[in-house]
Amino acid sequence: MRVKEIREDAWYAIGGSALLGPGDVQPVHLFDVERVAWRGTDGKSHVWHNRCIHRGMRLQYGFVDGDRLACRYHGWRFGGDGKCAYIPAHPDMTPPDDFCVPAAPSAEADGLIWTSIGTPDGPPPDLSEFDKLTFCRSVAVNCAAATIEAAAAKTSFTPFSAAPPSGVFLSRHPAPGIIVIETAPDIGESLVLALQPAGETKTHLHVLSTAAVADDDIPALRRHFSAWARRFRGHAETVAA
Amino acid sequence: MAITTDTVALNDWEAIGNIDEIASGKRRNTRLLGQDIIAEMDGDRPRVFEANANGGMGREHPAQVLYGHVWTTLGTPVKPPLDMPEFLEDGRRLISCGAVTVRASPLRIVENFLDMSHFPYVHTGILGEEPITEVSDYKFEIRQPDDELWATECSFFQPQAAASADDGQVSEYMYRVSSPFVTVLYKTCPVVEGAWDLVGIFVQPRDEGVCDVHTFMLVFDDTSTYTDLVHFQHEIFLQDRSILENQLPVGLPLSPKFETAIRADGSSMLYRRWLRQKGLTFGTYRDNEDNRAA
Repeated sequence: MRVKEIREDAWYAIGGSALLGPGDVQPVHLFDVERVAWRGTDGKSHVWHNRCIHRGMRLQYGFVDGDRLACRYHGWRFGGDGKCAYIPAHPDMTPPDDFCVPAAPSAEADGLIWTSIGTPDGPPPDLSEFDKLTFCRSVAVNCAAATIEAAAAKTSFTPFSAAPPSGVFLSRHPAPGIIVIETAPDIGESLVLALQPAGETKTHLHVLSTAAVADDDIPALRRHFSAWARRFRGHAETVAA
Repeated sequence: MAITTDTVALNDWEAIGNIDEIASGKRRNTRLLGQDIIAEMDGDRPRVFEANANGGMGREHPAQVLYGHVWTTLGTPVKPPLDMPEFLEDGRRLISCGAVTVRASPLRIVENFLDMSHFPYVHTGILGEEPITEVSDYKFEIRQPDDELWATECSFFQPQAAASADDGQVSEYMYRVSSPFVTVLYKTCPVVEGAWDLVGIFVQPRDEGVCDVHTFMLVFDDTSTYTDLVHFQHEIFLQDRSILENQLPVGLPLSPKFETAIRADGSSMLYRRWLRQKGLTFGTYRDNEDNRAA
């Protein structure tokens, strides 16, 4: 399965779980669709349509009130199930059951938050072949996902914990939107790129490392592959131009 | 886009600039309903022309000066601009706050103007504040023969109701929509007992999703400076703009099924019904066209 085969029913990573803390609300762009991702103080994450059912306000500007999302416009509170729980203009009113913001499929796995614009028939891509997977960095790249795929086929990286490779770098595509960059012979450290296509000229790239690191070394690992991600973005955008 | 084919919109009078911006010898190059226009003063007489493709003056349209603004129409008006006798009352100050460009439908801008339940969330600490968020029942109707929408007996608790207000007060409101893009509110004056202050917006729709909004106040206030009053109004309006530019879809859905409404939205639902009955399409959400919801 190639990255460029856009599949509406596929899962796509939309960011690192750790970057959506309790009380955070963030806009999400996937293909030509807008979503909102938020996390309640109960720790649960949600991905919804980015539109209040009342007057169409983008919910990304809302705020989290406990385990509810509040719309910025009129303060309507929506519970984790999407149902409107409270309407400040009529504090005594019980909102009808159909006052509900549509939810998109969402999941958290391997340090990432995942969603789909369609109806996936299964969990997010299985990355269990990697013993360790650490989310390092997301970058927005001004090119199509297919261009990133082309750039990834020619890229390399300096390992964080393994010895420098003696062989060649390869890329493979185990699932839609997933690129693994590894070496032959295998040095025991790969990069996993999770792509979030956001239109013809924008792709969000989520970078994970499979390096075997102690928790204390994770900040250094993140810096190492943050620098790689910035350079890779430059290459991909040059290819696109 | 080119000039609209919506005759309901074309046949209205719209304000297209503050008189100070179109002083003698100056021109305002602007746009109305998808048509580039040029406004200028010929002595005391306002003149409005279509702009040709090369920027020259094309066909002339009727123009008049009213309430500190130049008004024009690109069609055949069925009624004059609103009648606002308060403009002539002694002791009132007319504060024209200038034009603010908003990338939103003119109809969403007017609907937001009629709305009280956003005060605690959009104008926090000024026009409203949690926990006093309830919107009491009010009355709303279309008044004939002028064919105007009125909402009356509206009230809301406000921490700082006006530039001249020191403390919180329960403000009484009346809202009036005289034509689809022109609306005025009447609000308890914090200074003169029993009087109403007027605040209004003349929305100049440039295109379906871009407007110049001319805001004015007609108030009893001898203490605030002109600058204080303009700043107060700008602060409020820029807060509104942050909402208006983020509503999806851009066009106002007139079908009652498309968005959810509650009792507090009575005037908004009447506004939508009134527009639908007129057959207005400019600035509306049309399910079969390319201004769909995201």
